[in-house]
Amino acid sequence: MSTPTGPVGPAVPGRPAASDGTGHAPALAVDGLTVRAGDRTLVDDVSLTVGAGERVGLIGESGSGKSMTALAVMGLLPDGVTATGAVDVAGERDLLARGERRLAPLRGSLMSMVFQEPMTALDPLVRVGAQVAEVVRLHDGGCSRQRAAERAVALLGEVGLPDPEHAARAYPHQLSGGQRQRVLVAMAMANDPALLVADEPTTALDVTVQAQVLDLMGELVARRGTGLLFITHDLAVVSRVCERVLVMKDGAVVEAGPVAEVFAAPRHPYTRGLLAASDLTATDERGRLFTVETADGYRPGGAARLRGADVSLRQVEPPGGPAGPGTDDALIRLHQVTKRYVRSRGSVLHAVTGGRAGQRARTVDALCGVSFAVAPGERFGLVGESGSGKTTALRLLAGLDTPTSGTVEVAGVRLAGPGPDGWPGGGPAGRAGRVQTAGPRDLARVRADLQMVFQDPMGSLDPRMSVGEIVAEPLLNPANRRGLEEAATAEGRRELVREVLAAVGLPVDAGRRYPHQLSGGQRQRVSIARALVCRPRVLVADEPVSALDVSVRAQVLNLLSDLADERGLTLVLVSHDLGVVRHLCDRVAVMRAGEIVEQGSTEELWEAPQHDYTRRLQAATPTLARTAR
Amino acid sequence: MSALGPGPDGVVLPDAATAAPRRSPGVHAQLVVGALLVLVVVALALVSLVWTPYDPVRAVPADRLQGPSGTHWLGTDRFGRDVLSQLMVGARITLYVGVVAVGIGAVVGVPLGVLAGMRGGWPGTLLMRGSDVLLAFPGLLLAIVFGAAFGTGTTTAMVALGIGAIPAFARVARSGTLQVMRTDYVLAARAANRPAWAIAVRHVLPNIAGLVVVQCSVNYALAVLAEAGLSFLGLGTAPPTPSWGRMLQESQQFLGTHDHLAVAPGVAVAVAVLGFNLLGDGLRDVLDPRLKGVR
Amino acid sequence: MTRHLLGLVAQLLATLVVATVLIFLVLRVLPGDAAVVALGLNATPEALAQWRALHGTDRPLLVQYGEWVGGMLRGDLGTSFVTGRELTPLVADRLQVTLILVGLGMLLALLAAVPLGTLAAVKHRSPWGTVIAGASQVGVAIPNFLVGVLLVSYFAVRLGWLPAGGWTPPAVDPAQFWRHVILPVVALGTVQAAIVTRYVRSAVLEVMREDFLRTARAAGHTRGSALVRHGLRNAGVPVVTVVGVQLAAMLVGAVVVERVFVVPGLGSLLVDSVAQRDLQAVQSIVAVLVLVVVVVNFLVDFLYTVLDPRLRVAAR
Repeated sequence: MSTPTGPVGPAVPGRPAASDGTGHAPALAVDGLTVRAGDRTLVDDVSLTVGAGERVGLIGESGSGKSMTALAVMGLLPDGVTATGAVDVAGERDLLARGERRLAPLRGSLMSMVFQEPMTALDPLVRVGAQVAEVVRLHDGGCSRQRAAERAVALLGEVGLPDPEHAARAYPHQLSGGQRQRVLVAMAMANDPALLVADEPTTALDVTVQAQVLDLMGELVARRGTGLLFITHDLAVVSRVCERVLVMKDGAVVEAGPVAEVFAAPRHPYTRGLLAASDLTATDERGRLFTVETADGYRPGGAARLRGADVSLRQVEPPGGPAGPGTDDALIRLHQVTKRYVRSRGSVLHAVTGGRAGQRARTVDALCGVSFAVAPGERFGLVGESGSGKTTALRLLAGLDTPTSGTVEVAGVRLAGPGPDGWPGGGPAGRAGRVQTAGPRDLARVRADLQMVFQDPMGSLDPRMSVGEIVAEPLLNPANRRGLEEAATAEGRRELVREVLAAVGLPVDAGRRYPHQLSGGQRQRVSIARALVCRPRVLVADEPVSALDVSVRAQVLNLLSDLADERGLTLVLVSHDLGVVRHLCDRVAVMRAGEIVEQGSTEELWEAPQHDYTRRLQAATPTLARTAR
Repeated sequence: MSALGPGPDGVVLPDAATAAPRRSPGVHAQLVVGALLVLVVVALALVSLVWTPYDPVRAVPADRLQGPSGTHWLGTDRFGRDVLSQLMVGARITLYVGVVAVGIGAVVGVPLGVLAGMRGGWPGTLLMRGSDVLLAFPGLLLAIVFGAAFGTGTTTAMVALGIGAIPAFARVARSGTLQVMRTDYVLAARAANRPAWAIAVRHVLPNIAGLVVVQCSVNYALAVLAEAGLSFLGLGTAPPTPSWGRMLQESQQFLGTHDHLAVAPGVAVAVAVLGFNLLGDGLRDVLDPRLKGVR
Repeated sequence: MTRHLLGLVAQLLATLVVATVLIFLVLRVLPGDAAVVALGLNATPEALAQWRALHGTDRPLLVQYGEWVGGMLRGDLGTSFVTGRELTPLVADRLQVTLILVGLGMLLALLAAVPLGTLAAVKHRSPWGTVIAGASQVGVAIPNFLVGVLLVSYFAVRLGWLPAGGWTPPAVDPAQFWRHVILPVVALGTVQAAIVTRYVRSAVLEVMREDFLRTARAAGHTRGSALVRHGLRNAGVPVVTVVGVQLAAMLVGAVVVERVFVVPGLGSLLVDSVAQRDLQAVQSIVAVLVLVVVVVNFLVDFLYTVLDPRLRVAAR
């Protein structure tokens, strides 16, 4: 095996050089790579090089062929997908021509890969230490079991797992997503590869964890002189990690160059469009985000304008300005709300999805004393990472769940909580008196006033129903038809559906189609149309754009913003992405571990975050602005 | 308002390698072959209602134990009865038992499963424990017990097989329902304040229908096998009504000399079971690829 | 882990209690007077009374149930209503025969199904895979008694290689035992092999799509070695379930094969008892069969937690 295990350093000694006289062969040289599945071309004549120790980003939206390029390099293409062209890795020539048997020994030693989904990428039945040790022994037959195990522990320490000895004995499900991704990085770096291919390695992770893993990878790669091919949809991440970048669209590379150059002065219109749409700090003269079509007016690194900083942008000013908790005319008010979930015994699902090592507790406190208020017409954002309780808060105020203690009031209806003379403030978490739930009639009133948009545009639409039926469904409920008497008849409902579909920018015939016939962005428009069809006062959106491609994200955010203005909606937005919230919201609450650590106007929070966690979140959020400077 | 933006709209290619659609060309072949085999059995049964080559139950001692020939295509048995005619009438019993058994299983099991899946809590637990207990009685055992208690016969057999099928239907319906209830579209319906029955009818049932249909076809095959087995043991359909299982049992004493007596009903059972199994597999792939893998 | 085990045991016991109540209800309460069932409608009142007194069926049902279950706990299955013989030694004898048949049948099935199913999954795009998949599909559809009948017709009647039926206990004459056991085991095993092959195939196909196999290949495994090292154990988890379910089905399903080969198994005894309307025997035999099924299910559940560490956490 040609893998050096020697000391670290930018240079890679001992590797057989390619025939050219430049000293080191590039870590990766791809020439004329074409990938086909049947008669479809997924990757079309792509050429790229990654120099020894160079960090190259490969950017594209879903379907651009970026992942297929990576898999072709590794020889891991799925069945039925074939590649032609030339792939050389660190002087090993023409990998595409090699059979599985001759290629496999190079994987994990000369080149290695980290995948997107850490939750499923490790064998669930094998301890992680053994999985790392296996990679070591696989490429070094002489290494004893004992040595390999020691090396595995060392590697796990190197990737920053606390108490690596203990971690090595854990099974994958006992680790968090970030920890698992570290294990996968350890496996990938175990044999000092010349090339590391990373396919969206941090997309599934929380922002702060993403920052840590990105830093770790950058550091390891730099220390060992490994070439990095980093595949992502996220331009900001590329700007954080890479020196050079390639932009892919529809299977072809449309632009390439140093990150600073490409991001500062994109030449290809698509690159410009992507950049413009990714930059949530930049808006056009009407205060709207740039999309791929309107990208002409976009200047990278231009002056960022904050929502609410310029009053003239607003058509609806919240009465009473940035409202704080306690505002009398608040439309939504949560007071000292707690929510404790009791895990059902022996539920495999919970244990698999939520279990951590040694976590025996049967109860989970999703919210511990959360209070906030939202004034009519206001745009309120809840920011937090997974497990922060932001989605629980949202479910409570939509009446989909009842709090353990505390009060939730929406549009003048007390959804749940002790009566006025009961337990003000709810008392000690979880134990305070029996919470009375609102009667069905109260719930009906609230739900007529408050509608939701969900994260996954596919999952939130019933695949067996046409778009028209989906959008009309809320109208079937008499309680939701206040002021919409025409909705009592099928014809009236059809008319309302047509109207709202037009309002969200869907074509006229969309009503007859089925969800799977639509694109992701179109589906999210359907979801918004369904939420708006019975003219609610409050629109609650749970991560409405996090499952969408960058170029679509800007369109949907603009749509939400426009609709909120046109219809005078009160908006409650839950997101993990500070940038999204910053663009759309007037006021923000930052949540962590079931508590609000800080809340205030977007401007205050962005310019002068008070809480340490807010600052960390902000620092961890990759932004384009940083590179443009 | 801008029209639909271009961007990556339209065909969304799988970015992740694992997402490649796995619809082998054999899928529809399975469905077609299965449907054809089932049709053959159904046709035999239907034709037997109006016509059979001979009277299936009349003994003709002079013709006993003939091999297949032009006059008796599949030969005759020890009483000189025409095997083909018996086979055709036997198809009726087979289909009848299957319909009733699957009907009982589905009509009782599916609502229970949906209820357990939607309500959760103790009704769900109770239901699952109940079906655990029933699972301790394999279908054939239940039929034997019922036969001992209430006397053997076609009715006992199919009721027992039907009751035995309830847990399978309840489990499939429950796990499908649980999956549907976890989706955002149900959450959306709840957020729109739709009542539980509306969610059950509009969202849950249509989305688990595929699973239930597949289960029907699987259980149909099981019922055919079980009925044949029971009749073979003399615990199923009573003579003189022809039944495939008993034809096989009666053939036993002529093994080695008149194998056609065993082969004809045996192949008939195999064709029916194979047909329903293939139909089930085909439907599974065609009806609902998303809920696949639910057990 | 211990708590999980205790939970499984509690579940096992609860299932047994409910099952015995059901058996008693269906066989002793619903059919009416056991004496009438045994002697027929024309029996004289004196004969009926005498029969009732002899078998103790004139006492309250609860007492009868308690006595039955209490007896079984002590290993006493009661006496036959018809022959008046002790059931325990008879049932024990017959159960042994059935367990041998089922055990060997499943062993044969697994020996064939695991390699064939894996091969069918790995080669699922090649003709070999299709042939195996198709053959198993057909095999599932063939009733095991048809296989039995054909085996007898060919190997016993035509060729005369092996006996057409009968039984010799292994302790009496091992050579004769094997001669008698081969055909019934093959009849039972081939159909099971087809069923298990299908499950192995789909489990392996499922596992071949898992991300962690791709990770293993990215770490330097070939397709084949990744499957052997990481795939098969994962595929084993669902296969264990199926083997458990099939074992339970075979216990009773074996009765048909026992009939074909005139093997004195428990199922045959059960069917004979049904034919004689010997409710006491039926009741006890069914209880024994259910006990075996429940124990098999318990072992499967337990094996599950041994195989899959995720369930160990859930188990707490």
